[in-house]
Amino acid sequence: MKDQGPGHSLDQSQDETELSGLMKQAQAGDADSYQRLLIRIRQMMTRYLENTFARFRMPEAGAEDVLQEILLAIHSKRHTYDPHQYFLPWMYAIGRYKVVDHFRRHRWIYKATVPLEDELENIEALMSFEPSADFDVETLLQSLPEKQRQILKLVKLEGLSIEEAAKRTGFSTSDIKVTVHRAIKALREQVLWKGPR
Amino acid sequence: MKTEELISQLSQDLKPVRPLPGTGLLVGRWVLLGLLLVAAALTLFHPRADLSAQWQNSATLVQLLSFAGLFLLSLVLLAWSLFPGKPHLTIWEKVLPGLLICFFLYQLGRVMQLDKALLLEGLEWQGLECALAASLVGGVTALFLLRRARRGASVTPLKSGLILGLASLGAGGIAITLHCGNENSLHIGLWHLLIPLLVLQGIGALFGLYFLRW
Repeated sequence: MKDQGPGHSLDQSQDETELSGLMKQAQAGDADSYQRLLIRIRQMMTRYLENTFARFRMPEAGAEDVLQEILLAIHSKRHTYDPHQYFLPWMYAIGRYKVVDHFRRHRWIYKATVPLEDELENIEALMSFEPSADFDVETLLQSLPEKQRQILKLVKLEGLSIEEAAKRTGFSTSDIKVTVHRAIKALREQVLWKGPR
Repeated sequence: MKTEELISQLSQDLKPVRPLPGTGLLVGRWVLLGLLLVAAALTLFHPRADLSAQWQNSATLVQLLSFAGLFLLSLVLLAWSLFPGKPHLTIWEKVLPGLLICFFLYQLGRVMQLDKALLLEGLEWQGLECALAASLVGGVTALFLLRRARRGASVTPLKSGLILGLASLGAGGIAITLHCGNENSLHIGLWHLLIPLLVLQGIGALFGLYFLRW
């Protein structure tokens, strides 16, 4: 049983339960479980890469290569998955690492108030907060300061882009990005386990 | 190759894997390894003649405990960093440089109390032997740690390399503290700490950039 942090925990996520179970079986050598796991990872990573490439206006043609690099990295480093650890952060950390590598290799220069890796963490966290039975998003949002709650609702629940949210609120795009980043960080600390095991 | 084909191939080629041991076990093994390396170094360079008397010397104890603390804390952070997706150990990541800075400031405070003659004595080139010895022990420790760290998957390889460098400095510092009988604060600050720090951080950065990437 994994330690639970305050508030909602990834233990309540069906994806987390399913994928961590498949991974444990795959580490033991179960090929069927591993294939199912990789197919699920592919689905989730495809969405993650679509969001990421769209956010940074990268050509979509590179996404398939990055996806395959991620699958290969997960395969070669599957021994680093600790069964006492959550699976989704592990998976996204590997995905993020490969995306950053791809951006650097292709010399994309991204000028932003928020560092590239933090921005990628935002995308992962936003994707985790799907309005479903797994997370009571509204309750989580109530814990945020007014400005962060307002902006996160616009960007996530209403699906506005950063520019659209900036126009609606009157804040600058830099301010919106930093506020989203801070809000996500605060929500991540509520959702994910923190501290050494 | 299409992604579907890749998935099939990876599944067909699947072999069971031995998960990486937990952080606690990794750190325990590395501490043992470090102590063995320090013991080997002392066998080669022999411990200082007045070692038994030094256990009551506060300056020597501070030096030893600082290097030991640096070694242990760095190993914990290094082991933690080998598992992708683990939460940041934010407080510990601040304590590590804080410990180094405190140690520097402590030595600086003692250096400020030295007179000119002792300052010149501390700058003597014989100190280079100490720097080399500490860097050598640290370098060997770094190589052993690197071999083990490569089995992990640090998503911040440069940072892990720098932490590895600090762990190596800790090991080298323990060895040189137990070997060198020179109590001049400037000698300690420069030849036991600053020079090996620069060397081993450089090595750590190179290791991180070139050998910890995957």
